[in-house]
Amino acid sequence: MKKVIMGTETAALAAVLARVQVVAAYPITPQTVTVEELSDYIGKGELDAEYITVESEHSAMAACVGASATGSRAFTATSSQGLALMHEMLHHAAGGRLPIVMLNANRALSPPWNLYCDHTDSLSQRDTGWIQYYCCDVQDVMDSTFIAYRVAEKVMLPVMINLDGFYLTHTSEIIDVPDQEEVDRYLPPYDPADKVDVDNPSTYGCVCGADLFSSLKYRRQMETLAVEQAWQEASDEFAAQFGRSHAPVQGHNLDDAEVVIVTIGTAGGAAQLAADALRKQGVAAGSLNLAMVRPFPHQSFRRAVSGAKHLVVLDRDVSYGGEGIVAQEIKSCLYGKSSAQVHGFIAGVGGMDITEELLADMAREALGGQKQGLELGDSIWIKVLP
Amino acid sequence: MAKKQIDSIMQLPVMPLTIEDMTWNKTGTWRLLTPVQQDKTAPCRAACPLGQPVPQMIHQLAEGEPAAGLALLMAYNPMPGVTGRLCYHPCQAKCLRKELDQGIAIQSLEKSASQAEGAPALERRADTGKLVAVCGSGPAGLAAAYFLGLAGNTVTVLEPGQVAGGFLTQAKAGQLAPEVLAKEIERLAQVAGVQIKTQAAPNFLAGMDLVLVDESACAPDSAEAQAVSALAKGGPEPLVLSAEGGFKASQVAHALALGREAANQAQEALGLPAIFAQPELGPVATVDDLTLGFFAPAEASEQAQEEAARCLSCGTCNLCQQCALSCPDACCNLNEAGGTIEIDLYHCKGCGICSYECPRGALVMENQP
Repeated sequence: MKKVIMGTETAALAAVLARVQVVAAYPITPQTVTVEELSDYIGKGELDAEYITVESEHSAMAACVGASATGSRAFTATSSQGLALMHEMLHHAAGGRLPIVMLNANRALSPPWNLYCDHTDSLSQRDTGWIQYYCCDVQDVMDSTFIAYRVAEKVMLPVMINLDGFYLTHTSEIIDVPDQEEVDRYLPPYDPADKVDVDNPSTYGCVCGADLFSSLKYRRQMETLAVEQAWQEASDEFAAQFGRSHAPVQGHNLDDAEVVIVTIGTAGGAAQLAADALRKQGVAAGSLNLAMVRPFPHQSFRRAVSGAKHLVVLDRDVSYGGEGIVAQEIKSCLYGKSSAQVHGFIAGVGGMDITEELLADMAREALGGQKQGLELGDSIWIKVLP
Repeated sequence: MAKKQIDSIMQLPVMPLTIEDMTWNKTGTWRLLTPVQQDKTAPCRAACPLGQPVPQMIHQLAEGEPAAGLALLMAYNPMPGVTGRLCYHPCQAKCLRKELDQGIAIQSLEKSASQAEGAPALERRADTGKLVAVCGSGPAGLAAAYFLGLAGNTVTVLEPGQVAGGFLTQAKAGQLAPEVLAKEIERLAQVAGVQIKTQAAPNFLAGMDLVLVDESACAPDSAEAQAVSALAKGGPEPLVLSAEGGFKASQVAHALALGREAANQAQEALGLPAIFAQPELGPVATVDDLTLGFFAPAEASEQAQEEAARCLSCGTCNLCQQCALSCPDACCNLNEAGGTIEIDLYHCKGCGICSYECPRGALVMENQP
């Protein structure tokens, strides 16, 4: 069924179609509509789930941890400051191997206060062990939620679905809403091997000594690295059933591309247009939407950019004292394995729009054209005061 | 159970959780302080002239076991049906439930327990072969006879009058009906194997090993008192039970306590071990020992079991199992057989939560292994 629907509404509807059983969430701009919609669905009896009202995001995640440990499909949604407040519990969810799915509306962290898009909130949680997926459009929000639960429940790790604040949370698009039956076919009920059970008591998240701690971490890293493949497979299976693909790495005209514009989130659309415009001017350009940042899709990424000479990387974030986080991740992925030059640009934060022209100009600068911004460290900052 | 050996990464659980049974981990070795059940004395019991185990008796009523409650009382008091009607009940004045709403109707509960069917299961010691006579059948004399009977002596109570009971026979009928008194005396005689002879004639006492005279049974210098003294003629030098000024009906518990004490003196005179010993009791519980928040307000009830359920069992474990509920390591467990809480010291880490959570202050943390 076709429907005109906003990003936040889509996240709520996707949770309904995924038949989540427990929702514990605290409202925060620009995620609020998702929480409101979900409480409506549950209140009206359209979703058979428990809505746990909480006093903070820390408690929201704690409630999801408990719910998930009992074998329930748990969902929550947050943004920015809320995600930061959850930090401790994010480690608990991933370390506990609990397949929770969470929407995060990417928003700047204060101060100064700013409600608009910035990826620093989620990227600064990349070491918590969560799978991180960045949506490029509204359809992606719907579809990736189903893929997320399917992967999460297979590999027993939580997934953070990221939506660019306002660009995606508050944009309405025409999307295809699948039937419940079809979703059920793709996403069977969650039935874990281990769950809290009073008749078979066990301590969950128990103490572990030096004898097994390294081995447990090793196994978790092994199984986290395998997520790239698991997501790819789940995406392929989704494509076979629904005709839409949501792979960890989504390329556009990469086969012969010498310049590749790399983005995460909604800028992927503008990047495609910029690459197409550059092609018309005779530049062998392509674009790459890096949908998955954790685990970093090393294999797919290296393969996708194997022929590239210049990678133009957009960061809507910064690791203070380092550089743009995506650029850093890409350098780490390619080190010793590629001779491509990585050009890191920091732009599009705090409500600054990323346009096709801006991205094309960045690519031209990477190829030796006119300077677009101010160089600082290893990054070039766009649209900052001189 | 032994610790499970893990030899490869893939044998590890995906979720960090305990595998099988964790009893191999003897966490009791971490313990510094040890929880010990140490009952305090409930204020009602401390106030009782007979020191009866009041909360324990009430607990049995709450559990629907009045016969067990009666047995507890009759180990201290041969006539709970009489004290349950006549006593001035100092127990009730001390009831800590008053801090919450209304005190417990302890005297009514005592009366209720006394009406339990059947003879209470009290052990009578092996026959000593000693012959004892008690002259006068007031409560003191009857109590002495009762405990001496339980001690295995052959006891006969001699009452010169028509009816046994001494000054209790003078109680107002509305307070103590004659048939109730008769039944109480019949029961104590049956339980302790005591023979009671009314209209007893003097010169019965030849061959007795010991004679007691209950002078507290009636007004001094009265015809009855003289008749009682007359009974003792011709026997060995008697042990005399007397109370200055005698007893009022409401002081019956004090008369019974006097008789109980006399039984111990008599046992000593006979060269036999004491028959009654008050157990060593802990300090008297105060309101500070209670966690009143655990107790829901509850209206006083005319129905004994409901009223008994209101008892806070101050300082006295009543197996409420709050400790068992609270222990994070499942170390406090009800021992069904013994009806006590057992603490698994192999695994108790000594965290003290059980002691903190005990609503009645009956668990203390001791500095011992």
